Amino acid sequence: MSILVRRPNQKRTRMFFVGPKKMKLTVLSQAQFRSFVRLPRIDDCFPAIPQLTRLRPSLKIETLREKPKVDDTLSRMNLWKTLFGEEEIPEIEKGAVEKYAGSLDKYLPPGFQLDEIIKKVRKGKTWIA
Amino acid sequence: MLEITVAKEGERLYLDSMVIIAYLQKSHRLHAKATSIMSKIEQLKFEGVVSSLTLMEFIKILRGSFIKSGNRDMKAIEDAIREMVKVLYHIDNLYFVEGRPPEFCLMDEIKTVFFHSISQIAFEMICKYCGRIKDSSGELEHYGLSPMDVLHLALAKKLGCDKIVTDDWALKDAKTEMTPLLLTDSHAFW
Repeated sequence: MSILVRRPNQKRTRMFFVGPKKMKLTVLSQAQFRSFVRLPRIDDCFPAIPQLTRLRPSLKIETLREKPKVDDTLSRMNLWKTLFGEEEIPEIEKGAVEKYAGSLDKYLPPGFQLDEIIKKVRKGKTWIA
Repeated sequence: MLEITVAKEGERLYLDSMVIIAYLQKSHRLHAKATSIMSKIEQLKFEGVVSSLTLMEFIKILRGSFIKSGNRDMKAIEDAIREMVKVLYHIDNLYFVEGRPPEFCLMDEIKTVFFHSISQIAFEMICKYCGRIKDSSGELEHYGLSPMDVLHLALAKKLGCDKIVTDDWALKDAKTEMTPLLLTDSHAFW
């Protein structure tokens, strides 16, 4: 297996060749690597290996990394326990968005406007009822 | 200059407390738009993220609203708030995050670094985006990001969100940090 690495602050592209038998890591120069794999130019090998992305100084490493999945198992439970204690976490329901839209209406007078309260709370101002 | 904001499929959306309120109140002026966002999260078009800061605001807004609307029974108010939070727990693809490392993280130093980095990012943002002076009917006032806004932005960035869904135009100032998907913007699509 070969790994091509070029760090932004390095002039030379360094090629790491991991031998198949002893998995020994050897650092080869560009010319050595080229002669070893018999490729005329480094760029030629990229279209052939789509899994490889050539690192360029302008390419941010974040764009190469797959975005990590959100794992809310613990935080979901912690937030729930803070509010509900030992009560069981409710199941996910299909079509819940439609079913529960407007649930707040039964607790507020018709047409009650929350905009001013939202604005004050979000801007961090103390609001006294 | 015309600026169009589009939330693309698969993006992670950080939800503001207003979006949740608008979804839960049918008479809210943004109810249809908020419900549309929530439906698309449920249908897995987007990932929805609710932080503990959003939940705190949500609880505070509801307490204020219930009291202002004439309810004086704190127990009934708290029960109603819990009922509303429970609604959110029924929705698929909506993630609840505390904005802190998981419990299995043993090193106190790491927790300190995490908290520090959130507040540091927020602090840097409030210094960087100074806002502007707004003349509202002869009275001059500052228009710009609040500490709460920058904390939301810092959390959203830490959680790897792509956009922040809100109706707060002040967040437009920090669009280089994260693009706001403004429900009140006619050039925003999702």
